[in-house]
Amino acid sequence: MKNNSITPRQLFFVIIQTQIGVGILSLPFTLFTKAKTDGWMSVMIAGVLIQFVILMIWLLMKRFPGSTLYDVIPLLIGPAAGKVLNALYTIHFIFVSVLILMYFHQITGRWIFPETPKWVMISCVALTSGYLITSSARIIARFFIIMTPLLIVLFLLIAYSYTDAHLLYILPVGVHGMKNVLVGTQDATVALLGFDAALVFFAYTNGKPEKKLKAVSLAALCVTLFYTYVTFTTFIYFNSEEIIIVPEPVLYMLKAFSFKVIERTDLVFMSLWLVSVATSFMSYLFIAAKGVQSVLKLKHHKKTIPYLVFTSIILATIPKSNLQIQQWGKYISLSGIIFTIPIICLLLIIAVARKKQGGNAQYEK
Amino acid sequence: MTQFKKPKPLVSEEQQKASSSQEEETRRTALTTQTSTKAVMTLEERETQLSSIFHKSSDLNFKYISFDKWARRLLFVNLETSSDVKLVQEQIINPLFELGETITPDTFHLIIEAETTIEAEFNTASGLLLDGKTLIFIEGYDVFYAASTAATYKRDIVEPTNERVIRGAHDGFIEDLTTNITMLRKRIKSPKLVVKYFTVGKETHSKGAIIYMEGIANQEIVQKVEHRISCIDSDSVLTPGNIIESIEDHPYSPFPQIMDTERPDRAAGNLMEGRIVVMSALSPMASIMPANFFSFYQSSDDYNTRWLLGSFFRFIRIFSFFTALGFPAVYIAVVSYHFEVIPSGMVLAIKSSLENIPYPPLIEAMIMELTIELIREASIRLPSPIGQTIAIVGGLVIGDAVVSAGLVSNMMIIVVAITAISAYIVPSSEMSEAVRIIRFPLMVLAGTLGFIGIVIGFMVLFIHLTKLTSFGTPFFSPVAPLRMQNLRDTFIRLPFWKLNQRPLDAKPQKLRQENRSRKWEEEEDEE
Amino acid sequence: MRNKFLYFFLACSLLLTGCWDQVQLNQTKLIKAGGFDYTKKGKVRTIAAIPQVQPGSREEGKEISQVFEATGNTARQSRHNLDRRIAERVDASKNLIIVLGKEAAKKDIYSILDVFYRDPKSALNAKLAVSSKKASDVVSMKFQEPNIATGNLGEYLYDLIASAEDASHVPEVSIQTICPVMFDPGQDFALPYFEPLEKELNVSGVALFHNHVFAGTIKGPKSILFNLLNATQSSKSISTTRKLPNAKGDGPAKSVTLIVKKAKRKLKVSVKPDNSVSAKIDLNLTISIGEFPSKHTTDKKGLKLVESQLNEVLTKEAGEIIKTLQGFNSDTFGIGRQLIAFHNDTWQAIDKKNYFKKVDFNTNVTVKIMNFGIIE
Repeated sequence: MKNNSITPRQLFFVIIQTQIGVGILSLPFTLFTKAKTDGWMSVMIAGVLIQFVILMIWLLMKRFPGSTLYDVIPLLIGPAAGKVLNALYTIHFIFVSVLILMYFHQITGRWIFPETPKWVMISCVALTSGYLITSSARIIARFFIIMTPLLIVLFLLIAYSYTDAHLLYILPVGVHGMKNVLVGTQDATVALLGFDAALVFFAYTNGKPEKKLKAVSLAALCVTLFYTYVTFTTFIYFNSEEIIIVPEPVLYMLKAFSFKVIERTDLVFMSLWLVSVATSFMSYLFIAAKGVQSVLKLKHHKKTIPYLVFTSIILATIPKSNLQIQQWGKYISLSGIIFTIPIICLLLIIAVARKKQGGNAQYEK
Repeated sequence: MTQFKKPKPLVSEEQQKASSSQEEETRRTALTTQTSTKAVMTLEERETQLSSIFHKSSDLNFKYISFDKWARRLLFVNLETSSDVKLVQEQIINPLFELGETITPDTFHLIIEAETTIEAEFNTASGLLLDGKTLIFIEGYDVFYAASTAATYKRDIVEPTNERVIRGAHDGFIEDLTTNITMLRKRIKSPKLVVKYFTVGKETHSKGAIIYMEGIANQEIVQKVEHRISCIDSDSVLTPGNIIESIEDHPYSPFPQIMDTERPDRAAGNLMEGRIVVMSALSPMASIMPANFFSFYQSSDDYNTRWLLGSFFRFIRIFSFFTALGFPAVYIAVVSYHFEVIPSGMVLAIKSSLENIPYPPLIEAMIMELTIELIREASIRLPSPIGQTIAIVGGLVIGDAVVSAGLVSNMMIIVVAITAISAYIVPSSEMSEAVRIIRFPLMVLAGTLGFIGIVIGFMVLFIHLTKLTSFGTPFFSPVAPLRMQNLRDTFIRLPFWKLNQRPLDAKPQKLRQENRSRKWEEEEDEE
Repeated sequence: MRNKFLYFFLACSLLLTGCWDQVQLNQTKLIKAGGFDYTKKGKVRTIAAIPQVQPGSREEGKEISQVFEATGNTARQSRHNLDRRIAERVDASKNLIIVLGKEAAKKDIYSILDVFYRDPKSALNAKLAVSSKKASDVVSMKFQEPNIATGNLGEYLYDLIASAEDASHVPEVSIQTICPVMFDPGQDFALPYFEPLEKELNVSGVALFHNHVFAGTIKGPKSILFNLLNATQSSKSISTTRKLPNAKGDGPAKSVTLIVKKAKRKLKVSVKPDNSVSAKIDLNLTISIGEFPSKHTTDKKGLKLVESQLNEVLTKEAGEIIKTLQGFNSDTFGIGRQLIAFHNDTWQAIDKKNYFKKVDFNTNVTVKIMNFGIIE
C-alpha cells in the first residue's frame, strides 16, 4: 500500500488523462447533430451533472477508505451477487477499452493510414499500454503527469483557429430548443466519462477524503471546460451547413493551418492525440485488470495484463464497418452511463440504508 | 585454497582505529606467551609452506638474515612483483643494518621506517603478501611482522579526456584508490565523509571503497549498496563495470542507472547531494548511485558559468537528447509518409536531393548511421595519430563519395551529422551510448508507422524511464514524480543561492543545503 | 521473465510486417499548381503543373515545370486519368494554387472542390483564383520572366497572389477559408481574378461569387475599396490613387495617392417591422499622402478641403461597389449572417435567395489625413 499510493495531485492528472481521449475529435460533430449550434451548452450541462455523480462516487467510496469498487460491492450486496456484479463491471471496463481502440483505428485509418491493417495499429497502442499498466498506480500516475504538457500543446493548436473564426456562427443562442440541448447532454456525458476511474483510483490515493474529492471534481471541471472550449471553437470555425459533413471537425480545422516551419498541423495534432487515447485506454484496462484480479482472487494484477491486452485487441478487430462500430459504440456508451450513474446511486443507497461502513481495508498491491 | 580469506566485513575507519589498539593488546600477549607449549614453526617450515601456498611461484622472495648479537635468524618474505624492492631496501634492511646491533627482537619493529603491524595468525600471511607487504619472521617467535612495502605505480593526475570542462578544476581520478579518496577529502573536509573499504572477487581480491556523507546520504540506500556489494559472488571482479552490473536495479535496461565519472568535483558534488560513491582500487572511475536521468546531463561547467548561460547549456543538452533520438526517425517518417508537413519552399529541395537514391529512406539512414558508428569505434581503438586520419577519411571521404555515388542523399548526410553531434553532447558517455542504441528501434518504428510509430516509440521510452529505479529511487525524478522545487536544477540552472534544497530523488536525510547566501543584500540595503 | 521476452518479440514482429502506407517522396510527382476547366462536352479538364527536378550531381538540381492535362467526368476521375500519363504517383498534397477557368467557375465550384475537401492528404491551404480565360491559359503559360519560364510555376502564382493580398487588391483566401462561407446561406465570398496577358499575368481584381457560382468581377482600384469595405484588407500598407474632381491642373496633377494607415469599418444591420433590411456601413480611414503633385498644403483649410473631396469620391465609389455587388447578388458583407445571428425572425421570413438585392445600404467613407510623407 505504502509504495503504491498516489497523491491527490496525481489523482487529478489521472482523471484528466482518463477523461480526455477519443471523444475530443468527434464530440463537436456529435453534439451538432443533436443540438445544433447550442451543443456547447450540452457540454456545460453534462459537466454540472458529472459533478453530482462524482460527489456520489465519493460519498460511496468515503465509507470504505482504502478499498476499490470491487471490494465494496461484495460487502454491500453479498459475496455471490457481488462477484457477479464485479464481473459485469470488469467486462464493462474491458469493452470501454475496446471501444477506445476501435475509435482510435477508425480515425487514424481514415486520416493517415488507410492501408495499414487494423490489428497492427491497435496492437501498437495496446501493447504499449500493457507495458505500462503492469506496474502500480503510482507509476501510471507519474507517466500521466509527464504526458500532460501535450494537452497544453493541443490547446494551443486549437487556439490558432481563432485567427479565422466567425464569431457570428454561434449566434443566435438557444433557438434550437432546450430539449435538443438535453439530448446532446447524454452524448456529452459519454464523452466526459473517465471520472469513473475514481471508483478504483480513490483507493490508492493518500490524503484527506475532502482533498480527493477536490482533485477529482477539479479534474472533471477542467476537462469540461476544455471540451466546451473545443466544441465552441469548432462551432465558430465551421459553418453550420459544413459541420454536418465533417465528422472530425477538430482535425479538419487544423488541416488548413500551416506555419512557416511545419505545414499540416493535423498530423502533429493526431500524433499528440494518440497519447491521450493511449492514456485513457491504459486507465480503463488497469481498472479492468484490477477487476479480473478481484474476481479471480489473484495476488497481483500483473498476470492478467497479457490476457487482457490480447482480448481487447481481438475484440477490437471484430467490427468491420463503421456502422458496426457505431452500433458497438451505442451499446457501450449506454452501459457506461448505466454502470456509472444508476448502479452507483443504488449502491450508495444500500450503503446508507444498511449503514455499512468499511474499516481501513488494507488493499494489497 | 582454504587459506584464502573470505571477503572482509565492511568496517569503517573509526572501527579500524579501534581495532588497531586491540592489536596492540594481542601483540603483548603473543610475545609473552611465545614460549608456550605449542611448537613454533621453524623458518624453513614457513618457507616451504608459503612457497607451496603460492605454488612455487618464482617471484616469491625469501631472504635469511642473521645478526651476530642475536642468536635468532630473521626471514624476510615478499612477493617481489607486489612490493617495492627499493622500499624494502631503504625502509627495512638499511635501518636494520645501521642499528641492528643495538636492538632486541622485541623492539626491532620500531626502527623499521615502513608501517609495520604484528600478526599472529600464519593463515593470513598469504593475503598480506598479496597486498605487497614484506613479512618478517623471527626464529622461535610465533608472531611475525608485516611491513607495508607495497609497490605503487601512479599515473600523473590529468584531466579526464572524456569529461572535459572549460572552466573549473582540471584534475581527474587516477588508478589509485587512496589518491582518489584524498582528492575527495580535500574537497569535502568533514568528518562526516565516511569511507568503507570492501573486497570483492574470490580470486582477484579487488579492493574498493564505499564513500558517502553521513547525515546526508540515506541510510537505507547505503545499506542497500553495502548489501548488494557483499552479495557479489564471483571469482574475478576486474573492472568497476563488473560491480555496476551486479548491483544495478534493471540490468536489461539500455539506460545506465549508476553514473560514472572520472572527475573528483563531480563526485564530490554528488556526495553532497546525498548520493553514494563506489570506487574500485585500480580504476579512475567513481560510480555514483543512486543516479538520476538528468544528472547525466549535468556538467560541472554549468556551475562555473553564469547561471543564465548555464541554464541555456542545460537546455541545449536536453534538446540534444531529443534530436539524437528522434531526428533521423522524424526525417524518415516525413520523407516516406508525411511529406505534407514539409513547408512548400523546402519540399522541392528535399525531393531533388532524394531523386535518384535507390534505397528507401530507412535503409539509407541505417547505412549512414552504421557508418558513423564504425568510424567512431575505429577512431577510439586506433592510436591517436591514425585516429585523426580515420576521422578525415570517414568524415570527408566517405561522406562525400557516398553522395556523389548516389547511394545516400545529401539530406541524409545532414540528418546523420546533426544526430551524431547531438549524441556526443551528453556529458556522460554511457548515456550517449544508450541514446545511440535507442535511436535504431525508433528509426524502424518511423519507417513502418510514420509519426504514429515515433509517438509509440517515445511513449514506450517514457514508460520505461518512469518505471526505472536506481536503488529504489525513481530514475526519472524531478519529472516523474514531478517535483517542482527540484526542477530548478534540471532543465535550467538557477543561481547557486536559489538552490536551497537537495534533489529529493536520493532521499537525503537533510534536505536543506543552502540558506541565505545573499543575506548581505538586505544588510546593505539597510545602510 | 519469459513472458517479458515473448511480449518483446511480439512487439518486434509487428514492425517487421511491412510498411503499408508508405508514400516515398522521391517516388511521387508533386502538383504545385492545378487548374480546372470544362470541355465543350461538359467534362472536367484538369491541368497540373509539376516541377521536375533534374538531379544535378553537385550543384542544385534544375527545376523544369511540366504541364499535364487530362479530362474526366469528375475532378477526381480527371486526376486519375492524369496519373496514367505520368510515370510516378501524382500527389496534390503540396499544391499551392488552384485556378478555375471562368466557365468552370460559372458552374457550381463545389463539385470541383469536393475532392479537395474529402481527401485527407489534400492541401487545404492552397490559394484559389479565377482566370478570365481558361485555367489552362494560366497554368500552361509561357512567362516573360526567365526563371519562371522553366521553374516552379506554382510558387510563382502563389507569390503573385500573396503580393496582391499584401496590397489588399484581393482578400486573403484559401480552399479552407472559403468553405464555411460557401456553405453559409447568409454570406458570399470573393476570389482573386487573373487576367492572362500575352506573356504575363495580371491580378486584376476580385471575382465575386453568389453561393457556389461565379457572378462577376470588381477590377482595378475599386478592389481595394472593396476589401476595405469588407474589412478583408491586409495589415500591410495599402496605397491607392484617386482623381480629385475639383482639382486644378491637368494629368497627374489632378490625382492624389493615399496610403491607408488605419481602417475601421462599422457594419450595422437594422430591421424594420415590415422585415425590410437596411445596412449602414461606416468606413473610417486614417491616411497619409503618398503622392500629391498639384498642391503643397499645410493649412487647416486646405487639408479639410482635400479630405472632404476624398470623402466625396470614395463614398460615391463605395456606393457603386455596393450597387455592383447587389447586381451580382453577392453578399460578401455577410448581411444574411448578421440577420441569422441577431434578427433570426426576419431571416426566417425573407427570401433567402435574393434578400441581398433588397437591402437598403447607407455607406459613408470618412478620410482623415494624418501626414504627408517626408515633405510638406
